[in-house]
Amino acid sequence: MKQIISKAGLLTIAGAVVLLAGCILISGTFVIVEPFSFTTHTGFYYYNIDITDEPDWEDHKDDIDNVDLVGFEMWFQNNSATSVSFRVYIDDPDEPVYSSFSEVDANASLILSDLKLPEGETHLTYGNSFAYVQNVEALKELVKGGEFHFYGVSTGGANPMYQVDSGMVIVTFSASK
Amino acid sequence: MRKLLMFGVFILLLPMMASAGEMQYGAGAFGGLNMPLIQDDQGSGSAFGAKAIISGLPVFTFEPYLVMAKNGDPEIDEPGVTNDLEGAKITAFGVDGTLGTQMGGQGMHPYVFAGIGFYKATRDQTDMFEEAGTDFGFGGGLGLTFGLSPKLALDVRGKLNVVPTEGGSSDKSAWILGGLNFYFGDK
Repeated sequence: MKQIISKAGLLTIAGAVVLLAGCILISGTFVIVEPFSFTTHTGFYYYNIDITDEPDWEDHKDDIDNVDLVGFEMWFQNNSATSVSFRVYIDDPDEPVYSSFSEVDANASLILSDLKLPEGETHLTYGNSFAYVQNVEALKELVKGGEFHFYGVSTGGANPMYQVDSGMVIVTFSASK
Repeated sequence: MRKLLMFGVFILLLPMMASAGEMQYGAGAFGGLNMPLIQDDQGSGSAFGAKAIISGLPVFTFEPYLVMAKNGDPEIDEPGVTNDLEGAKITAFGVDGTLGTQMGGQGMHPYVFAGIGFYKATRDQTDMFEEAGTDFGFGGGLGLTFGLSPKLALDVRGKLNVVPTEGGSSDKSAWILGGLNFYFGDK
């Protein structure tokens, strides 16, 4: 009797190990890169980030466990003689697109700040962008939905002839089945 | 700190757990490849470490270990993306139980092993995204020892590590390691 119980116990443990290993093995991370180009509004730049049409998103959207990383790649051109500072805000896609900087500042989440742009060209690389990222929980929550409002704001300089040439949002998700 | 204390207590209890038979001891040093699996944000790198070998039963050993690993820099194959994100550094410590090994002697001995451990991964660039919580994980694999002399053996092994993360996912890696084991005492 003891032998039967012992064998059954071993089989149960072996089965549990196989099941656990199987569940855990079907998981991993994937990266989505979304290019953007801002449109100019009065007092800010705007783009609607939408990654829901990306093939990887469509394949894994129901299996996403976590947003592991959100980084940025951006190119700037500051034609003024003074340096400016650049900030990025994001907001829920269900919210309206704001019409002024004060609305953006009051309602959206500041997720990238203190980026100083001297005269001339500035290239913010993916690896370096994390040094400016803040408000990570809000960022992760909105990115996990796949779509969000993306606002760029520059401050400083009397009349900076300034532009964001282009950029990319780079998101790393972890997912499991 | 509490994890370290628990680990220390566990190591101290090992000789009692292996109380049947005469205790034998050894030590090993190893190094090799560290390959993150299904992780687009990490590249392949290296792993180095050391272990103690404790045995109180034939063909069965406990191996407390410490491993320092470094992931390679990830490569995002997308035009315009600067690949300047660094790979994570990993400090892992734990204990493996092996079945099939011999404490010294010559010849070739295949073995299986499994164990538990703590895996601490850090990446300075992205520390704001690190999740607070347990770094507890487990692993196992296959190995082969070649006895070079009664007290020295070449040890080659492949280990799969699984560290559960938030929401049901897990970080997985494979270590392909080679090293030398030295066995204390008379053979």
